[in-house]
Amino acid sequence: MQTTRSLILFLALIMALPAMAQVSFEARVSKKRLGINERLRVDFEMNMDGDNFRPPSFDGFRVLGGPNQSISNSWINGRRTYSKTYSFFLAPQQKGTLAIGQAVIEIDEVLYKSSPVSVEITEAVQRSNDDSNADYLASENVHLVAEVSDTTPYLNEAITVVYKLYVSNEVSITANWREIDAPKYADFWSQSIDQKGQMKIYEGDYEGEPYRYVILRTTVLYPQKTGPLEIEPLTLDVPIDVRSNKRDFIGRFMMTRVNKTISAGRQTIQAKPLPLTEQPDDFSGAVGDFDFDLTASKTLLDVGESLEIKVGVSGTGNLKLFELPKPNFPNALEVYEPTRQDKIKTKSSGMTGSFGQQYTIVPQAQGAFPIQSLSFSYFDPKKEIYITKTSQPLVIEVENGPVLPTTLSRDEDTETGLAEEIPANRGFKYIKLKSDWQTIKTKPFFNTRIFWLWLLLPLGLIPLWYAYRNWHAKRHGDTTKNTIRRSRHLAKKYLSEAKAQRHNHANFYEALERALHNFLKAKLNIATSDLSQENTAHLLAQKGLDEGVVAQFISLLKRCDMARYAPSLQGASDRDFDAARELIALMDKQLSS
Amino acid sequence: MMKTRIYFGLLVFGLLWSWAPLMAQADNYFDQGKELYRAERYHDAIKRWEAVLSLNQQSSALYFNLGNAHYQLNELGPSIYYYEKALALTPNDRDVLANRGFVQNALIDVNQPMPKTLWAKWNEQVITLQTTKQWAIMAVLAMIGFVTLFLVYSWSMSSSWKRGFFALSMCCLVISMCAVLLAFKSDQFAAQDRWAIIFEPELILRSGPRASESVVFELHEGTKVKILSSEGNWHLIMSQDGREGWVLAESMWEL
Repeated sequence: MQTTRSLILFLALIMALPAMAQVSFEARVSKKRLGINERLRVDFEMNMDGDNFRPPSFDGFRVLGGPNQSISNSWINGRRTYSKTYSFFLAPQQKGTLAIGQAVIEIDEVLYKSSPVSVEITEAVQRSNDDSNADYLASENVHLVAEVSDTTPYLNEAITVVYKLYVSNEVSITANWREIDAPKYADFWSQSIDQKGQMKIYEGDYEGEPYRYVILRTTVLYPQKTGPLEIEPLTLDVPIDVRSNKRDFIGRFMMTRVNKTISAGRQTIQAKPLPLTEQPDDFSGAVGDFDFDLTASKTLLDVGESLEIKVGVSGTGNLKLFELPKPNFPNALEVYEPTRQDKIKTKSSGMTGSFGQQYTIVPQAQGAFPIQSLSFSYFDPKKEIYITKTSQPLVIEVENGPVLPTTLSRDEDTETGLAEEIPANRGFKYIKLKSDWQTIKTKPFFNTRIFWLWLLLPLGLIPLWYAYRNWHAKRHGDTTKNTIRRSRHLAKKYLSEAKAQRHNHANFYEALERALHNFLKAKLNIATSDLSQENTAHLLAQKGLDEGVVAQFISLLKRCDMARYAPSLQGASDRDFDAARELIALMDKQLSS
Repeated sequence: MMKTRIYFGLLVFGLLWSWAPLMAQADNYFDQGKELYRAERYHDAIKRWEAVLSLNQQSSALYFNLGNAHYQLNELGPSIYYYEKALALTPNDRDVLANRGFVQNALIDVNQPMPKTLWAKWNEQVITLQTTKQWAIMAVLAMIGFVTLFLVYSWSMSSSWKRGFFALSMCCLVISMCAVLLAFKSDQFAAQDRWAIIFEPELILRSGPRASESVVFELHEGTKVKILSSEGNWHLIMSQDGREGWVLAESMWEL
């Protein structure tokens, strides 16, 4: 048993010896993929001293430098490590996959060949750099990425931008970075959630290669405009520790610190407008998922006490970014400016919490005060519909206190004296128990035909009455009353002068004769010159007067003539006046009939 | 003569025959409404009382009760509407004024009427002393008085009697003409004096009679407004503080 074990150990040692002394000759390139404007370093390394090195032809490359020969010979713990390297610096001349052919070396009179290496040459890169440049390494191995949760959100729909710093296993970051340029998010409402305390390091992939990353910052954005919106890049100044080619005295690679400015690229967000169809009237821009309520701290109180009414919205969405509906309060409630009450947390999914306005109210009069229910509409971006939530209506009962508000005085009330007459604690009146009925629609009377008939018909009675009286008088024309009135009229017309002169004898007869002449002139249409007594008698007879009447008339005229020259008795003048009056009446009647 | 007497008798009988059951029915509904109100079944009470209105019967008490029932249901618009109706019939009813005060407190808008000029106030007071119909009846009666007195004047012989009757008849004529004038004024006033109560919780007034016109301001339920003119289905209204705007006619009830 013991012998077998020692044998195996020995055999292993024997086997290892030639392996240690085995010749290796290989070609190494600084990178397998490079831009056409970059340089490539090719090393041909061997572990034994060789001669007659023959490099390959390097087709497609231009040799910039080399072969540079370097030999390293080190003894560590009594063991020798030897390496001899031939280096070439090459510039690619064409794009595509180029092959670096085999190099040949002669070691201990044996020819060794290196394996061919293929290199991919790409488009020109921005900054050509070679392998050993720490800057280059840093930029290749540290990446800042902005991840946007949704690039086509609705207006006011929350999106999150997560800034991740990817670091490859090649480099490390040990010091704090500095923010050079923070994005301003001009067209967004933004809230950043900064990582606090120790950063958590996650394992992840970046373009298929294993990377470590930290989440630098999460920003919640609410687009405030529609259309393409740009998210400005975040730019950081990061100190990166890069392994350099130098080694410290124990042979470890020295780390060099490179300050690198890295930025997450620009992102463009396409914000969609909210659908206009079916948009409720009371929509005020709320987008998310909410609950809505209207609550009162109490609903039964006395005048002068106070209560709070709260209009509140809770849920997830763009809280703070929309208007809350305002309740309309009855005028007899004194309402103070509302206080805002926010309990909002911003998470990576958006804002959550509650947001409300609290009104302090002091009733000024007793009674029941209904506060209309309020409705609140929001857009649910997940379901893509508008949702309206309506609160319960509130009724505030105010029990004790004045009926009329103390702060408001109504003209109408003071006018009617109501303000003074209603005692302070007279409550709401009960219904009336008795009723007297009247028809609702009364027929109009004014300006109807009946109205005008009633108004104007009585007026018609007046001409009717006069017409009747005339007709009546005509019908009873011969009545003494009528005659008397007519003779009185005639006497008044012709004999008034004579009557006035009755006591002056001479003047009386003169006036009487003139009156008789006037009467004749008026009745017979003759001039005074024709009025001789014979002529008069003849004319009167022609008009068909009675002989007797004419004779009396003529005799009266004669008497007048005579009386002017021969004074007669006093009584005769009265008799003659009466005779003249009767004659005139009689003749007038006979002439006009 | 006999014939007219028969006709008149028939007419009175007919009127009584058609009226009496109507009144009884109205009383019946009114009492049912009272019971329902007492049992706090306000909706049913309102239905009963509205049935009375459909019988073409009204009273201040009925309107007052309807106003109360609506107030109990916190329906301020209808409540104010019925109180105003009650006040139109009995302008100084203390109970109605008191309860209307309660409702006015609960309204959102303050109904503060515009101050009127002394002349306008006086004018309104004189015109509204009587209704148009009463003015018209007064005009007719004064006219009949005038004619009678004038006939008496023309009949009488003595000059002192004549003078007296003539003066009286002329007085009657002047009164009659004034009454006609006031009836016209009152009629015109009634045509202009159109009021309405807003029934919408929130009523938007526009600058023209179209829904596309710009918003002028808004009023709330129960506010009393004056209708100035109408255009199609739209009314131009004036609020009590003197602001004007157009609204759809169906958003309010005319008094």
